[in-house]
Amino acid sequence: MKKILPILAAILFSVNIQSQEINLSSLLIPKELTKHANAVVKENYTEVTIDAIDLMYVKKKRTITILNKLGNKEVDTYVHYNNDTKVTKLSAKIYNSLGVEIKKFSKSKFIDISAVDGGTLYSDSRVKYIDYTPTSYPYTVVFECEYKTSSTGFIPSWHPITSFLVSVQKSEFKINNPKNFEIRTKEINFKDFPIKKISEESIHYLAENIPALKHERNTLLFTDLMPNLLVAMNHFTLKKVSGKATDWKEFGTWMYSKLFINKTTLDEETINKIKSLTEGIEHDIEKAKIVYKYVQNKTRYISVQVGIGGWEPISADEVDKLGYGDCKGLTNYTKALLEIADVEAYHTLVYANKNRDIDKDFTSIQGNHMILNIPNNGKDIWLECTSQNTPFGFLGDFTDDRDVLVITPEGGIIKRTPAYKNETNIQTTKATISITEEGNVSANVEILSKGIQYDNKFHIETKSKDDLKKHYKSNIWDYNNNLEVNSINIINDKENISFKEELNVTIKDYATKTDNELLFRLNVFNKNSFIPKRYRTRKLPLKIDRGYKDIDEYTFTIPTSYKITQLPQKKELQTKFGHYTIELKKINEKSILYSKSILIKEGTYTKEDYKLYRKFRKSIAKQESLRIALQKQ
Amino acid sequence: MKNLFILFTLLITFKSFSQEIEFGEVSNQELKETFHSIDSSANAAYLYKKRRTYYQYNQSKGFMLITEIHNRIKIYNKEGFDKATFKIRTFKTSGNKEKVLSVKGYSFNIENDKIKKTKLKKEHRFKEEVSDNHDIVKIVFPDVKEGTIIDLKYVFNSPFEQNIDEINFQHNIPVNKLDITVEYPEYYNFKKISKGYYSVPVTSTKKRGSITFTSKTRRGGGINTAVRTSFQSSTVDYTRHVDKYQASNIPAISEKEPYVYSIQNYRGGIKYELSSTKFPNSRPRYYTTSWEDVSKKIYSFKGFGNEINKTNYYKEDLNSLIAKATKSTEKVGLIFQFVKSKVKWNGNYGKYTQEGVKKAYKNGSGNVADINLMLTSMLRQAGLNANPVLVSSKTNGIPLHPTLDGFNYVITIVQFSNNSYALLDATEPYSTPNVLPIRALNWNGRKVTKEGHSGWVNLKSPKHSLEERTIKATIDSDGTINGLFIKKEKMLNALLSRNKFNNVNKEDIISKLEEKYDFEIENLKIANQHKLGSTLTQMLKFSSDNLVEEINNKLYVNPFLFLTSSTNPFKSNKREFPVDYITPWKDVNKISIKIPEGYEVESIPEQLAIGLPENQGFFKFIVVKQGLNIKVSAILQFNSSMIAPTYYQTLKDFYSKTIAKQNEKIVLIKK
Repeated sequence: MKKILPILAAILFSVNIQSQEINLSSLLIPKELTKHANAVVKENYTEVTIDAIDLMYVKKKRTITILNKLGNKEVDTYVHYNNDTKVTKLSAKIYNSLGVEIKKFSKSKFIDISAVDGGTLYSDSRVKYIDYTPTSYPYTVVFECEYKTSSTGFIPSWHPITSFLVSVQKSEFKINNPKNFEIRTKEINFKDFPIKKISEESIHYLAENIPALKHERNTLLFTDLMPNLLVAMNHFTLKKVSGKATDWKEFGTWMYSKLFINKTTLDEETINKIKSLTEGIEHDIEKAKIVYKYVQNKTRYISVQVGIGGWEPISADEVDKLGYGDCKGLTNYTKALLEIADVEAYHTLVYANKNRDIDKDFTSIQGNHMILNIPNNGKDIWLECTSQNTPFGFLGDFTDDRDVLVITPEGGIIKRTPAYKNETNIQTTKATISITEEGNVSANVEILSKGIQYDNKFHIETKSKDDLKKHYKSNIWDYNNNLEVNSINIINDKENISFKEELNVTIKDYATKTDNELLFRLNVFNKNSFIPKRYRTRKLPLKIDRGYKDIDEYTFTIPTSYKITQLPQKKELQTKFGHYTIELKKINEKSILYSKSILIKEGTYTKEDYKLYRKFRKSIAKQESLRIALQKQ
Repeated sequence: MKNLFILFTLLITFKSFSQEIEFGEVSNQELKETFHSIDSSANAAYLYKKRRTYYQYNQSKGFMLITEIHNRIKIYNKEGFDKATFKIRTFKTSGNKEKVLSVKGYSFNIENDKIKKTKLKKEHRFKEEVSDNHDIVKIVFPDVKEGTIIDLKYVFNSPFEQNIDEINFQHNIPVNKLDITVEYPEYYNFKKISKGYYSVPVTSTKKRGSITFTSKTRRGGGINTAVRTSFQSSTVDYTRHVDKYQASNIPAISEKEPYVYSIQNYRGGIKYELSSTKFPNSRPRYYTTSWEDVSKKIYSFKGFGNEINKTNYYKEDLNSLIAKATKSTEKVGLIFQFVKSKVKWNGNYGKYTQEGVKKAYKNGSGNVADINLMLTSMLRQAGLNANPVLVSSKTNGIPLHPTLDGFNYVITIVQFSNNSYALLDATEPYSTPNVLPIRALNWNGRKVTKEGHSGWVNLKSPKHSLEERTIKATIDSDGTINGLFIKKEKMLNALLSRNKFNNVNKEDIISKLEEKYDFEIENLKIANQHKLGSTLTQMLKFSSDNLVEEINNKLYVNPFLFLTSSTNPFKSNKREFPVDYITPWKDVNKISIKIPEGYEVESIPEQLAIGLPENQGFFKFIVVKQGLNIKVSAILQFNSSMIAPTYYQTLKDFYSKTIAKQNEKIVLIKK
């Protein structure tokens, strides 16, 4: 026995050495994969085995070489789990640049913490990770992990490219389906990438040698640029609840019957309250407005990630008692109250924040947020139930202009939320500005905002006077030194969704005095100096996320001892990205009218267009800091 | 009659002082309040903040630390809703556990002119197991709206009786009434350390307390007697120290000001640190008394002095490293760089080792103490006069009284025969002798020698952190400016820049600079990125078409060109804590501008020299005309690393003048 052991160890050791020579030395990475790269995924292997409707095994092996300090965040040596998921195998090994193992983490060396973020109250989500301080670069990490789960509602999808600035030598994805369950897949953005389908019969893909890509601003979302394989089963289990979904209709029926039904009961007192509030009101919309206001006054948003896969709402009853809930709880609560008032309304799943559609052609569990749909005889009304301030029926940029899934008892329906486009998002700034002999400014300003521009600012309504003053001084008009806000009046017209700010301000030493001139910038209150970043060679398409229009009209009164001599000519810039005009008119000897209008159109443009767009914005920025000189009389 | 009147007033004052705030009862008037009467910007306020911390004796567990909390919060608007969620962290070890008990709460609202009271229930409480060592108890109040008042009471039970939680007087919302009591038996001796820029005087009294012990005796069990158990109880009397902190209308502390490193340091409060214990029938145990004592104590800990004495693990490597070095400065340089490259910082602070030097050396990573105690040891081994220096990190604040917690970081000092010295921190790859990273640049350090003697060391370098910028530019007749830009950085500036840019590739640096200065770069060179002893130098050729403004046939140019600052960083009209620059600093601009053919200079800004009181800083600005060239030179210098709040307005005005001056234009006119 004593003799055999060292031999065995020697054999193992030599095997090890051999495989390291092939895989783990950082020095052998092809040059095209290290260009722009902070890390190289040498191998990323995911194997999913579906053993039963409620039993799935996942095996992952990821070998990544971190080339420099910035690559550390790509290590990804962690695994998430919860009450349904059991991690069966877990290890991480660290190799130096020559491929020699320098550290090893066994399962017990992983740190186990709650994966609840700051805003969440309760969740069973946990994470195991390692805490490793790299001692030199490059280094390689081999991370292996296996887990089994009873939830097959979320089959891992395949993302061969996980981040910008990371190249991929090899990424492989395989699904074993020994029992021949019906599994659907959808390939997204595969065509521009070197991806091979290994077998026609099974789901097995391979991507090789993808150089690192650099992020560029003002472009499409990462998910819209990168390849992704969606996977879903027709029969699945989610948190011990079985489901069937071949299309959205069926999926919706399942979701309704398993997750939403019987969640809308409320006590007698609340029912009576709603009934008396809506009594005698004929129109559904009017009733819905009353109910929405009631919800906004009663509740607040608190994240609670429990229930089926994060999708089962806490019951209306509960929310009524607590006075708070997450998006599902509050949406469901609003629905329950509307039910009492005989207004038809449905839970709706959506991807919130970044504009992303629910994939209408691929049925699977999707979305990250819930809103409420009131069909209103074909004229859909949408309610965001997590905000206490949002006007009735207003979605804002959080959920506008995208495909969503409406869950009715008869099944799921894909609908599109309304869009706030270009001129709809208008801000009009009117000001009367008088300039004193000393060069000080005193002005009355009125700003009216609609659409997404309303959305961008209506939240300031809740700020206190002092904070508001700071907001104008430090955020809105930080380019005006010595600005003081003397009075503020804010009118938030929720009915018409328009936001009006009326201010009186003074700016000391605004104009520069020379011996015989007084110089000042014309755009006092809405200077738009945005210039897109310069790229020597742009690689990604240009995307303007949100169109808008700004109109500025200022009437200047000049001090008595100065005269207007020469005014700049009217200037117009017209491009496919929008237009810009600036015009000055002498009203009389002592006053000037400044009018400016800027329209930026949303849209996706080619990468070649990027340069033109930059030029356009640069010319605008120049006009926006235009100054004039008044002559001493 | 006169006496009676005095008695009467006495009674009244007594009453108003001791007026009890009843838990679960709020007034209509308080509920109807829509904004805070003193601070209208407050989103919420503590109407009442009560804490009572005391000791309770348990015969099996000994003394336990009990803290009773009563918080009453008024919520004025939606931004104050987060104040209706409480997160209480509890600590646990294998045998001991902190507990949150007896949680009671109500939220109050006005409904139809009547007070509606909603009870806090079990379903409003959540417990999150964060890690093996700590949990978080979360309490979320129901029925919270604008105007709601919430009342919360709970008891925090801790077996870690030596650690009284820090007391904060000041919060990010105003406190209308503060009532804090700390009671401790005579067996404990605490040092009370105040911190921040708001203080509340203490009223200390002594009261009597007693502990009743019950003991069990078994007697008998002999041939003729049955076993009998009898209970005796004895009482031990002791003195209780009672400290009261009571205050009204404590202002909120603003969190969004520039040049703040850690707002927690400026928040008024008190810390109790144990200095000794003396229990009946046992010898006294001293924890801390003086800084001398603190230093000695730290040195004697296993994870400190002992770790410095270990030498075997590196001996061979060290010998070969310094084999050829003759001068002591040469040895210091070699060893400093060697430790930096051999052991990487894992991000953890600490005055005691985490891994132990030996293991850290082997694994190549460790905490601050692992690294710098190893450094000290190697320097000593090489025959140098090296000692550890205890530091209170920037986030640890400035301790006013000697305590063990006053230090949480350690660096190294080497002293040379000519009285010069070098402060070293090997956790920071780009630090150089006497240029420490920001985290260690706080207050003073305490040098501790082998013998346990200690003394203060000034951590801040007497030299200013420098940024020197030179521009040689030419204006073309079409208004474009081309030129050469050179930036030199020394001291802390160099450290920070190396840290920020050494890992970024050139292409991205170019892109960042182009964005910052709005010009186009032709050629960028960076010198001495890794030569830490030399000046970090960045050189580039630029061109820009938006630095010159044409109005009525005249050209207007900012004397600082693209380096012009146009906004004052200080916007607030008041500031109650200092402006922290971390180190003295100096910005130098040397600019020469060649004007285009066919133009002449119409006017240039006048020179300016202004200073801050007590030689804390100055700004000098001169523009001169030399034929077709305009020469600008300016210095902005701060000799103090910290500007006291009393000078805030002066500082703000000073900045405003420097900004106004650099925005005055050079005016060129066609000949």
